[in-house]
Formats: sequence, structure tokens, C-alpha cells
Amino acid sequence: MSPEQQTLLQVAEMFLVSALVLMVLALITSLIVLSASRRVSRVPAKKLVKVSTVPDADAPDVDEFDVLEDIEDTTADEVSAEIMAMDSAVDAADAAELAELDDAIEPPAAKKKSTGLNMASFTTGLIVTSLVLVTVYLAMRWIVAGHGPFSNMHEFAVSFVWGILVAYLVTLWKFKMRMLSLVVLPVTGALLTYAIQVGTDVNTLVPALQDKLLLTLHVGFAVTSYGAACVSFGAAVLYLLYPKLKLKSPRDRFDEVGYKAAIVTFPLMTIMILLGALWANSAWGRYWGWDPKETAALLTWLLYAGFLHARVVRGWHGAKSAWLLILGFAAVMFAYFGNYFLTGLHSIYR
Amino acid sequence: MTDRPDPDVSVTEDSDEAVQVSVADFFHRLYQVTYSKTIGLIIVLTLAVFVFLGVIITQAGPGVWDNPMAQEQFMDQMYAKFGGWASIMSFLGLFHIFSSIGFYIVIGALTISLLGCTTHRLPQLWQRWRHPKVVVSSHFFSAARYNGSVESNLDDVQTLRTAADHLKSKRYRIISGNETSLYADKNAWGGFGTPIAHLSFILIMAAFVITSLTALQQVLVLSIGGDAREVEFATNLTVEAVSFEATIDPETDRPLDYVAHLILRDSGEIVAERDVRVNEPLRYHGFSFHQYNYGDTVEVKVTDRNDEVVYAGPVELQWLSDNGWYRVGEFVLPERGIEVAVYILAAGVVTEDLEAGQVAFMIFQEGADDPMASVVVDQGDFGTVGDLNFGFVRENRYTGIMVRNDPGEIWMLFASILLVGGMTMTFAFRHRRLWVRAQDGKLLFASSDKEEYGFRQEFDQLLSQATAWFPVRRK
Ligand code: HEM
Repeated sequence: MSPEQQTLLQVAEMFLVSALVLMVLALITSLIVLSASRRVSRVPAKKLVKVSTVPDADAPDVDEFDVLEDIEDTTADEVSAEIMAMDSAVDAADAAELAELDDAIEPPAAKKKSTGLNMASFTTGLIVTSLVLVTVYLAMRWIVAGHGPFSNMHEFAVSFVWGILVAYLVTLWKFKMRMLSLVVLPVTGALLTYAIQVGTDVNTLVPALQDKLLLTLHVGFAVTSYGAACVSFGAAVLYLLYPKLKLKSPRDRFDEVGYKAAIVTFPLMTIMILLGALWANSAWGRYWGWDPKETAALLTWLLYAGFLHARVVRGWHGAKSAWLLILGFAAVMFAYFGNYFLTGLHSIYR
Repeated sequence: MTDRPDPDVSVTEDSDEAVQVSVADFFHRLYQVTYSKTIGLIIVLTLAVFVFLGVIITQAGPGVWDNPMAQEQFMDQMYAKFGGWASIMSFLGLFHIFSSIGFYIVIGALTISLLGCTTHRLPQLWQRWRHPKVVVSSHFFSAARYNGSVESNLDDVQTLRTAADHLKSKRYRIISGNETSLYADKNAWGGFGTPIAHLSFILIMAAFVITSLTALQQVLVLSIGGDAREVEFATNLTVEAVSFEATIDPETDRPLDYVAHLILRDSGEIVAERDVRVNEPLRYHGFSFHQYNYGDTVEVKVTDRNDEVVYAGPVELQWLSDNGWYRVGEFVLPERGIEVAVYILAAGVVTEDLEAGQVAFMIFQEGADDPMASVVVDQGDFGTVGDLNFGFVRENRYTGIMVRNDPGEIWMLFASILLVGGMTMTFAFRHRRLWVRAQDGKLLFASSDKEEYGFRQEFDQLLSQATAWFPVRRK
């Protein structure tokens, strides 16, 4: 490596460390926002915010198909009766929920003045900046190494962080759900610390890893799908801790975000596994060898499939399916760091 | 013949019918089990448990379980690791989970369940797509999960027409019910993504079965610059390795590249000549040739009393002897029931038995532990044992080329595309339904779709846009 390249890498590493510092700061400010919003929420609410947007996922578990069947099979009036019955149950549930929200939702006036909001935007600014730094770091390494970030655990961990931050910001943009940072930032912080501590060497690629296009795609899908998995993990954790935390968004919004992130995770993960199989077939002449790393990825995939199906089964909503998301993310981490406990072809990364 | 039925006969008929009903009932129930979502979920999670065990428990490598010696060796390691539990674990198939009976049962159950779900669901999806319920009661408009209304200054028929035009321009499909009510939806076909994903997963499993039943595979050990060798299962094909190069990074000792230059002949005609790398197999008429491994060989030649060649070719030096002194390879003469081990000195070792540039042939009766004879031979010479002459031609290097013919490959590719396509349809093109009615100077909207943040926003947005469709006389 030329001295210029070495300098470039050193500069890049400073970016990475700065990104870590910003993440820690963002976590601190997130905690401040949380405690501020809890303080505000103790002020009695004067006005309820938009009742109609409170979702009714506590409704009796009527799945889409049951409703379809109802609509197809019964007369219109019966449908209405059915739906009315269903909705009155929803109303009861909503009333209870609203009573709770009553305390949690801050009055719009208080919102404007609260330091919480400014701090929240500041937090987002910190996170965006650290994403920019991580992106620049990865790009600089890519230029120096001449290949994507897939030759060792350091590169994996940093790109995983990148995927999580992107998924977090997309979720924030779509669902305005800031508090996910409480779960997401500790994960990215820990991953970056690990990445820095494991050493920042640039490695050459072993021959099996030299199909750059296929590998870049494989790793790209892994990173984005695992990033989305981290977001759905965050939503599941907040869903379960909801009664303790008194967050602003209604509880079911966390359930929905968990699901939405999972339906991004699942297809991306499917593509990642299929690309991996395709690559294994061209490198070793077989798609699937029950290599521990492959098997761990399959386990993760099945857990997410389980989660999606749990949602269409009566009685598996809410807490149970949230636990499946947590299990799913544990499997993601296991598959990711599997190299440390598992042996097999993928152990070339060790 | 009388009109009055014979009592006996009618009884028999009756009981026949009863039997038929209960049989039909039985099958109906059985069918219900196959499409039960709870059972489907349990199957998927059970499969996850099997896979989990397969990740955390060391699995015997391919072929180990079919080979008693290898199995014994593997089990010794497991006894050392798990103690007495190892035999129980072995009994449960935990060391070869992915070829255990339990695993096959779960895969079978998954297939049946997937088929059940799909057949149960297709007619419903068809119905929902082609013949949705178009007219609903007025209660629906006040009770459905999503509902709302806007005022209109037009008469009801015109109001509905205006709404239809606007919805059409928003890419809704419109089915009109009567003059004042209509049904509108988007992505009605998106729902078919789920059955497509389900069926494609069955296809993936089928592709694995096709592969395991019909794929042919052989590792050809080719001497570099040596003779061409025939592919066992396609004897018209021969492969020759002209050269081979392994590039190692001098700083890190990591391999950088393996390249073999191959010539492929079909019935003696050259049909391909090119470099084959790890990720760039050579493909020809459904056969693929992968760079698999490389190493050192000794080339040997065995002739009989009449100088007829019994065996000729490179022998891969696969092992190191226990004391580390010799490198060892092996070949078999099946017609003679003989196995031959070839010994050559490892680099830098000096012994009394063997000199550099010599090879020792140890001849075993097939399956026996002790050799029945041995002979030491110089390069270019022969040594005689019984009626066979064992020749040591030269030391060389080899490259292992894996030849494969896999009819499952194309199915795998097809199924993978279907799986991803099906999922994209399901997740990215959700079916959205709206029921719309004009009534008493108002336009009513309702939908019983699942609660979703995105659709809620879309619905609210639609309502606020709809206010602008009518130049309402404000009261
Ligand atoms: C590993 C194999 C399977 C895969 C890859 C798979 C794939 C999928 C996907 C992608 C969805 C869409 C999920 C959503 O809309 O949230 C889905 C839904 C569904 N699956 Fe599966 N599935 C599998 C196994 C099964 C089994 C065994 C059953 C049998 C009961 C089943 C029944 C269903 C049902 C009823 C739905 C709900 C459809 C809906 O609400 O629109 N699936 N599946």
C-alpha cells in the first residue's frame, strides 16, 4: 500500500471514530428527549389529538380473509352488523387506550415550546451526520482496497452499521418514530466499537470472494435487510416496554412499524440467501452445503417467516409476535458473528 | 320389481351413505388441517428448531454417515465432546439432522401445508379479484374501519360519476354496482403473490430433490501438462489441464487466485479451451467444470505380465502419515480387489527406508488393515509384485476439476425468481379496496381493509382531495 493510501485510511478512521462519538451523543440526547416528553406528559392534556388515527389492532382478531369471506358470503346488512360489532369492541379497546394516551399525548401548545422537539431534531442531525461519516469511510476504503466492504469482520460490522442507520432514517421519515433511536443507537454503537477494536486492516480477497458483482449484491442485500431487521427489533422492544416508557406514539404504531420493517427485511433476506446460493454454486458447484453460516441465515429467515405468519394466526398478535422479532434479530446477530463460534467455509473470514 | 324398496337393500344403501358422508367429512377435516394457519405456523417454527439444532450441534460432513470408518472416527470426537450423551444424540439423528427422518417429516408436512394453503386460497383470491362484493349496506359506511364523507352539490348520480372519474385517474379499478354506488380497488392481483411465493418454495424443495436424485458429479484429478481424462458419466468428454497457477500474496500468505487452463474435447473434437477460476466455471451442454482444489501427485503406471496397462494416472497425495515423514496417496484396482497406497518423502525429511526421488507402493487386499506386499521404486522404474509391475513415472502437480451435471439447476433458478417475484407482489402491491356511495348530497367512502398507517394516510388524503371535486355551496 502506498503512503498516500495509508494516509487516506488514517483520515478515514478518524471519520469512523467521530461517527461513534456522534452516536453516543445522539443516544444521550434521545434519552433527554424521552425524559422531557415524560415530564411534559404529566401536564394534564387539554385536548386530544386526532382520535381517528389511533389504530384498532386490539380488535378481535379478524383477519383479512375472514372479512373477505364475510363480505362474499353474507348479505350487506350482515356485513355491517358484523363490522359494527367488531368496531364496538374496537371502540371499547380504544377508549381504554385513549384514557392512557390522554396522559401520554402532549397538548399541541406544549409541544411547540418544549425543548424536547428541538433536541429531537438535533438528535436526528447527529444521526444523519454519523451516517454521512460512515458512508464516506466506506467509500474511501472501497477506493483504497479496490473491492467492496466484504473481506473481513471489520468491514462487515461497519457496513452493518451503515444499513441500520439508513433503515432507521427511512423509518423516521416515513413513520416519524424518533424513539427507535433508544434501541438502534446502542446496537450501532456497540457494532462500531467492535469494528474499531477488531482492527481496520485492508485485506486482499481470497479467490472464492472474487466475484465482485455477485458479492457486492449479496452483501448489499444482507446489510440492508439486517438494517431493517434492527429497526423491527427496536420497534418490538419498545412495544414490549411500552407500558413502562410512556411514549408519545400509540402502542400499536410500534407493532405496525415492527411489521413494516419485517416485510422489508424478509424479501431482502430472501434475495441475499438466493444470491449466496447462486454464488456458492458458481464457486463450489453446489447451492447449499449446510455450512453453519448458511444454516444460521436459514434459521433467521425461518424466524421472520414465522413472524409474518404469526400475524395471520389468531392470538399471536402483539407481544408474542414481538418476541418473534426479538428472536429473529438475535438470530441475525448470531448469523453475523457466527464466524466466531461456527466452523465452515465462511470461516475464511476469521 | 316393486316400488317398495326391499328393506334390506335400503338399509344397506342408508349405511353406505352414512359411510360416504363420514368419509367425506373425514377428508374435509383432513383438508382443513392442511390449510390451518396455526398448524402452518407450528410447522415453520418446528423447522426453525431443527435448523437451530443443526447450527449449534456439530454436523457430520457429507458422506460421513454412509461410511462406517468415517462415522466411527466422527463419533469418537463426539464422545470426547459430549460424553455419554453422544450416543443418545446420535440415536436422535442430531449429528446429521438434515438427513434425519424427523427433518424429512417436517419438510413433508411443510409441503402438504403449503399445498393446502394455496389450494384453499386460490378460489378466494380469484373471487376477490374477479367478483368482489360491489354493493354494501349503508351501515357499512358508518361502521367500517375506514370511513368518511364529503358534501356534494350535484345530484347523487352525477356525484358518483364524478367520483368514478377521479378515482380512475388515480389508477383505481372501478366496478359500478348501481347508479349511486361503486367499488374501487388497486392491485387486486397483488394478492396472488402469496400463493406464488408458497408454490415457488415447494419448487425450490423439488429442485433440491431433483438435484439429489439426478445430479452427477465427479472430481477429476488432472496432472498439469498430463494426459486428458475422461468424465466418468459422459465418456465422450475429456478434459486436459494445460497449466495451473496458484497466486499467493507474499505479505499475508493468503491465496489470491487459482487459474487452470483447460481443454475440453467432445468425441475428440476441441469444443472449449479457456482459463477456469474459482468463480468462473466452464460450462458446456449442461455440464460445468469448476476449479476445485490442487496439490501434488505422483504419476504411476501399473502393467501386467503382458505389458498391458492396468492403471495409469496421477495419484493425489492427500494425506500426511501420522509421524509426518511421508506424503501418502491411494488408488484402487477394483478388478483385482487391490488397494494401493503410495508413499513419498515429505519435504526436508530423511529416513533410511526411502530416499528422495523414490516411491514406496504398499499393496493391500481391499478392506484389509495390513499390507500384503510392498515395493520401493525409483523414478522412471518399475517394481514387480506378483504378476503386476508398479511404475513411478514422475512427481507432478494436479488440479482437481469438479465436473457437474445438474438438471435441478434450471428449476432452482426459475423457483428463485418466482419466490422473489411473489414476495414483491405481496409486499409492494397490497390490495386496497374502497366502497363508495352517493347519498343525500354526500359522497360516502369506506373500506374494511387492515389498519395501516400508510393506507390511513392515503384514505385521509383522498377524503381531503374529494372535497375539492365538488364546488360545494357551503352552508
Ligand atoms: C417457508 C415457507 C413459507 C413461505 C416462504 C411463505 C411465504 C409467505 C409470504 C411472503 C406471505 C405474505 C405475508 C404477509 O402478507 O405479511 C405469506 C402469507 C401467508 N402464508 Fe405463507 N409461507 C410459507 C409457509 C406457509 C405455510 C406452511 C402456510 C400454511 C398454513 C402458509 C400460509 C399463509 C397464509 C394463510 C398467509 C396469509 C396470507 C394473507 O394474509 O394474505 N404459509 N406466506
